[in-house]
Amino acid sequence: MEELERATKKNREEILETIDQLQKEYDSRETGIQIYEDQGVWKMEVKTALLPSVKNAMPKEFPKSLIETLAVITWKQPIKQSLVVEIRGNKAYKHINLLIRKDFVEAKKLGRTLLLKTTQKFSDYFGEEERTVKEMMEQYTKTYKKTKRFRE
Amino acid sequence: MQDQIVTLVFSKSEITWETLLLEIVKQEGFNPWDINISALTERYVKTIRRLEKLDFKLSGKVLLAASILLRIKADHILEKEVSKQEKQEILEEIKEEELDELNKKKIIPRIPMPRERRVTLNELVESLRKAIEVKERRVIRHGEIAKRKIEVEFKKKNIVSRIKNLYQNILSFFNKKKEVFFTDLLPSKKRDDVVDTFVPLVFLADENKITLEQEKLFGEIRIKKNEDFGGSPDVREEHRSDDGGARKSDQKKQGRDT
Repeated sequence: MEELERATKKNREEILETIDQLQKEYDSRETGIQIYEDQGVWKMEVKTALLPSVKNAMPKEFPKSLIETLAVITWKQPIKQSLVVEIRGNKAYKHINLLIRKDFVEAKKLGRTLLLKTTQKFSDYFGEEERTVKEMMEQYTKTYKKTKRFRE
Repeated sequence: MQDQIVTLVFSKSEITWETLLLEIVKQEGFNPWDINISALTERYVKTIRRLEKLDFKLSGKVLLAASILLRIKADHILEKEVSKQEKQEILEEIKEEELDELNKKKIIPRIPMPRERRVTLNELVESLRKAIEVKERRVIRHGEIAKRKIEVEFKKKNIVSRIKNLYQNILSFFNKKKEVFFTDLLPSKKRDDVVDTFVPLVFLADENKITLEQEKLFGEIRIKKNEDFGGSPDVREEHRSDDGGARKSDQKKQGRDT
């Protein structure tokens, strides 16, 4: 917002009003773009539903290993930090910190470790409720194990 | 003049501001105003149309020549035709409001936005497979490490006899010469031989049979015989162990110095 204020030399109210108008315009035209606010930063991005169509056009915003750690947390949540580290290795500490900072994961103290679970932002980001994502993952792992046994 | 510049731009394979200036300087009574940049670019456009294809090298050359000429002209105005006072007057003429207007029109550099996309739900689900695979690999690897037998070979050496032999050796050297050095005692300069000679030597020094002197770090070790122990080697019972016991740290310390 500060950058927008500096760039446009308009006050916050005027900018928010303009953003609101833009959002309405994009919604009414049913375009593939959405404008939204994330942790004080305004973003103009491809709509979540259309992401699979453009996924090869540009790289992912998070590195693979970070997404893997997030996947493990989603799958087993609420999950102890120590268990995540056991599954993912020591690099998971760094990943968890970043995921908490990005507001994808929240942590509660549990004895000497942390209990981790995904946040509302996580659901908004992936466009599905955490329970649905978790179910998808459980289904996925069942299929994976079955096919693995078959492969072996 | 105009034609010469145009010929230069179109004919020479490489053009730099030096070649352009050289051509201009060659002409007497040069005045940069005589070169019409728009005429130059028009000629270029015509040539391109005639060629019926895009020549990026030619475009680059024309653009470069035009920019060099424009720069020469601009410098010429500022340095030659407009005095400092006039410059000041021109600047004052531009009122603050106009400056503001100019600032508004300035191109605002794009706020650095990452050219990255969001992660899709499918990618998140699929990455779980990768995480599971990595975990399974780690479990297998750890299991393999736990099962693996590691065989370590220990050489059995009798430290007592080694001390005795070395002391005999030292005494025989002292019969021949007054000074004995550590390197005299070494069968070879191999690491094992150095260690096997040094360790019993430290024991002998500890028993006050000999004195060791080393002037420089990593330098030669001088061995001196202690007169009180001139007789036959007598190794004390307390050293009759292969590991050296509590002396280990001393040995290590001195071993580093050799």
